[in-house]
Amino acid sequence: MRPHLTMNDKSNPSDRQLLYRELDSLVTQICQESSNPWKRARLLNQLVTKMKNSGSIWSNKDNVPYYEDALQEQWEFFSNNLCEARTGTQYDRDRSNVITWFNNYFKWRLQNCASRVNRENNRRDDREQFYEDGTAIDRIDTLPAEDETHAVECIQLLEEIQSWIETNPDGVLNECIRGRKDITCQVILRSKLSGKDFTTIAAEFGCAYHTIYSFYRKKCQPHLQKFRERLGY
Amino acid sequence: MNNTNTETESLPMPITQKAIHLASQFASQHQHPQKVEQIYINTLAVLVVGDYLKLLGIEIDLDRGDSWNPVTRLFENVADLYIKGLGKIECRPIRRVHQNAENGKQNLSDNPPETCPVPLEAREERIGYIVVEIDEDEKVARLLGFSPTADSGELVLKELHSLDDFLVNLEHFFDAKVDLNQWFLNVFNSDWQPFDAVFNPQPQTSPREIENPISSNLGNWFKNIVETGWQKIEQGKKSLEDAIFPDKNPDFAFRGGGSSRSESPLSGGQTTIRQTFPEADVTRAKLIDLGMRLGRTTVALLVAIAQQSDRTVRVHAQLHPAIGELYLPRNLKLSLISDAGKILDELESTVQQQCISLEFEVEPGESFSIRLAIDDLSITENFMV
Repeated sequence: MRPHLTMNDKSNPSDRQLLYRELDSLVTQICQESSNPWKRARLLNQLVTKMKNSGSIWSNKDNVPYYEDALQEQWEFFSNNLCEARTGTQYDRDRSNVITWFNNYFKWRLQNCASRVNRENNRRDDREQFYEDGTAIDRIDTLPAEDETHAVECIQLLEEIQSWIETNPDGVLNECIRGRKDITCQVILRSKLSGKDFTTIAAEFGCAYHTIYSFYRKKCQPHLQKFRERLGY
Repeated sequence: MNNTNTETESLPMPITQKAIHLASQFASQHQHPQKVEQIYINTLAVLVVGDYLKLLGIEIDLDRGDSWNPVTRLFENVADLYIKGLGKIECRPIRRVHQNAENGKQNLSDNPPETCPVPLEAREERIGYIVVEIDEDEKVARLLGFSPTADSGELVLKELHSLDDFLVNLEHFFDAKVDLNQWFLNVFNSDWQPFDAVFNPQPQTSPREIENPISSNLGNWFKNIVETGWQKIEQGKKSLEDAIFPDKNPDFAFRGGGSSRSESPLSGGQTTIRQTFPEADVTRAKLIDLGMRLGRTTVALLVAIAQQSDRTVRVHAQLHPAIGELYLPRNLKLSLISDAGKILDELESTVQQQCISLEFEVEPGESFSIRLAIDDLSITENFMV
């Protein structure tokens, strides 16, 4: 890695001033660049990279589990409101440097996450579900999780696919590589389902991996596609 | 562009609980530990690169990636991410394992890997590769850099290009698309000429190189131009038609009418474009050098477009032999390819064929490519509406 300026307590004040000037100049350029979104994206990439690698972004001192989510939200807020007020108050360079502005909002966002977690725990406590020793059964220290229906659907889908490959109901998976009756679509799909890559499968069967891959693309995948469509994916 | 001599500065992105939760859900589908890990880590890589692109104002569509398809990802080791209007990038993950990780995993190497493998299926129709180092202990994913290709099946980490190069590359991809909206405004790149200029060239005109840097149409990124463009068509339609469809049209006919595609047999009964595709608002042609060994074979790609009432654009693409040839070379393939890299339609020239053509409709905001392929050579023209 190329060394970058660090902004911990030991950093040189002049280095810090230099960094602030650099960041400020980037902010000016970004906000002036309205005609070419690619140029803007490149400048923003520079700004974000410099800020993230500066060591000055508020760190996870309290080791809270929602730190990363709040951080990403804050970066989105940052890019939305740097040059215009899109989702909040616009950055005002006369009031603070860009890192201070970032950190102030970020700390507020972390507090906000903490109260959301507290609120959720209070709600759960109200239902009075406790272990025998008095601790609440389902207290959380992370943000409330989203529902699990998606995971359930995924598991059902896997079961259906496995059963399709093993029972091969319409016999379509018997199709094989010419001259190699042992390498059928069924065999390849089964191997791929177990996470094997094409090179490994090729080595196991003593067959060129390009042959296996091309057979998978041309013959097996269309069957899979049809099955997928039947399931509605 | 090339900065292989200097190491790139990586960009740390937070691994959010939201991302971990979704990656776990995707992976929960599976019992094979190897596959669980593959889906989990691929999903994380795609999500952090998606977060990064959103931060820069670059639009993505997760649902258009194979990595988001619950069936495809079971079989293929893919971490693709679709960038709107451009195509798919591959976000290849590698794990960062700490030497002092818990459970006494002391013998796990702390030497960071030097290469990142890219499996076959993750090398199809990608416009670039980003390597993502996943450090779950630190909940940080570092974008290590970018590579425009991965032909050897692995990326050497110290040879990766910077993320700045990645963005430059995306811009080139964007610029290299022919923006058909501009055609409605009567704005053309010099490669795309009126038919007359292509088939009756001035003496000094010679076939041009195919690697054309096409002038930028960046204003369209924010889609403003579409609104103004459509109004001007009606005003300019009459004069455009007169200029582009002269009464004595050369014998390059868009055929097929209502059918979605047509193959023209050798026939003397060709009709003019005005008759077969009278609603065309704009037509242009480009000479394409196939550079075949026995003499340089040049073909002309003709494109005619018409605005439909629902703002979709009807496109006729037709391939002709150019200048002095009667027939197309044999086994020349003309393919219509979606921006996600899928072949939607494909035709192949046979013996003594004068032209092959495709006809299709494109939604506003969509991109597509037309690919010409013969032997080992393939040339792709990218378009957007």
